[in-house]
Amino acid sequence: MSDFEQNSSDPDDATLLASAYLDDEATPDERALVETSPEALDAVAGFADVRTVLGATAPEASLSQRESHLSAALDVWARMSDLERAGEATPSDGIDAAAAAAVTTPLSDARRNRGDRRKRSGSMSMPQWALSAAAALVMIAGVGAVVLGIAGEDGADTPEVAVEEVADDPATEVDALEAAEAAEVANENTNDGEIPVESDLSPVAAEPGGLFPEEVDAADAAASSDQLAADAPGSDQPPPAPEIPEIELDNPDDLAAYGSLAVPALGQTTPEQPDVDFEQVDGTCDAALGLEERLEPAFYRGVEVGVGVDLVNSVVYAYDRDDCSVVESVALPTDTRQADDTPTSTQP
Amino acid sequence: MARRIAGPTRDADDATQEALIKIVRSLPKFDGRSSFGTWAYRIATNAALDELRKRKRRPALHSVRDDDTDDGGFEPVDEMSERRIGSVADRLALDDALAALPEDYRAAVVLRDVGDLDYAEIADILDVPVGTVKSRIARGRRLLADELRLDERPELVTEVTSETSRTIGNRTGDFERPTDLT
Repeated sequence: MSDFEQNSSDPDDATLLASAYLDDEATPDERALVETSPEALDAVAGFADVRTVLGATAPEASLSQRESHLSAALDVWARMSDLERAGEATPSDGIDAAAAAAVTTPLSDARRNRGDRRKRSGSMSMPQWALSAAAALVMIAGVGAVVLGIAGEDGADTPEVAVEEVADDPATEVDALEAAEAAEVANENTNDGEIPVESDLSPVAAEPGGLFPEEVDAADAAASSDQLAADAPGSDQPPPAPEIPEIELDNPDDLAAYGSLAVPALGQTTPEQPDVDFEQVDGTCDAALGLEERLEPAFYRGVEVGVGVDLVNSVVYAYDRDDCSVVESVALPTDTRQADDTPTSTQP
Repeated sequence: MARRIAGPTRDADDATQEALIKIVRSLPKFDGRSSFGTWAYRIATNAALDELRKRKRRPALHSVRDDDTDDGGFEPVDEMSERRIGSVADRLALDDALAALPEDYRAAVVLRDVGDLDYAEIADILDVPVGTVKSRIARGRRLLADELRLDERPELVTEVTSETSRTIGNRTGDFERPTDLT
């Protein structure tokens, strides 16, 4: 009986030794043990055959499949933000859907059907993403409103609190304080002591570090302060859009009246000032309906709709934001159209 | 790799895509504690094992071989070797033998014999001790050898080893028996 057979009475041990020997992972003693045993060498040869067949026949994906996989991965990379690429933020889950949608491999029927489902889900991902972004903005606005309300109850100067948090840059501090001052005026015009729950994001957006902290620069803040100051009581400017939690429109007249809010607001908007009164996220229906201005989404006869105004044809549309189908359309009120037709009359 | 672990099904394709996407998404978090290859293999192995587990939870009808498709799905890198060994029966025998392995054994054997990783790397990828890797590989090979009975089909191995131009990692797939047995 050889040393190998004596030292490896357990077949499992013999297998371990032979396998380790084949992989060059055996100790010198183990190697000597194996090399002195024909049985062990037979086992090694058998394992070598297995390895050879497995390695030589390992299937690999076709070129087209590899290309599709790589393109999907590159698409994920392309959709990642700089923060995500720097590892400072977790990539959003929507990237996976986008990557899945990017896969365009020639496939059999069953797989093609699955691919079609992926594509369909991918085509839906953009509006869903936009809705998610809108929901996030609403949440931010809600949190901001609660914070403002709580700070107000505590006697703190709400706008200054916001400014202290945001205006780390001394260069923008003056402008930010101006904006805060204007926001304070605007805050006085709302229900004092009551936590506002607003669907209109303009007050929050007008504050530095509000909805788009990285996008609001000093000029914007100053412009916003001018805008809010102009909205103060006694001003000759038309009143701003009503601040109500959810806009409910019951009939075409309501829709027309609501749409007319877009028109006077245009006269106040300077080119440098972001039109914060209007939704700026969902622009997918602009081209389809010829919309120049969009208002906050509203409930029209109980159905949530987007509302936009075709200023060229003076028509207000309530539309399904998913497929841009028109739920209701109504002409702008006559006086509004006149105001819209003569926007330059107030210019010197 | 994914096809050897997940089996000759489209799940392997899904696993490959999933792995690549995870690699890209996790790239900024790669800390270099292990080599990039080991890290990528770990993601790919986990993706393949995940697909395998998903498939086990699905009805068997959802698991369709690529061989059943008209377009073939996969094509061999080495056409000569594929032609030699490529009879459907042989391929199915290999696939079936691998499929019969416990998944832990299969992953270890594939990482070693297809991926050509050493035991330490495999241990890192599978997050198990090196000794466990060693035993899994050995037992997996034993089960495969018993199932394939390659000793009864030496022509198969001979054709592969003689015709293939594809080296298996740093090995050429040949094992030379020592001649000076004492």
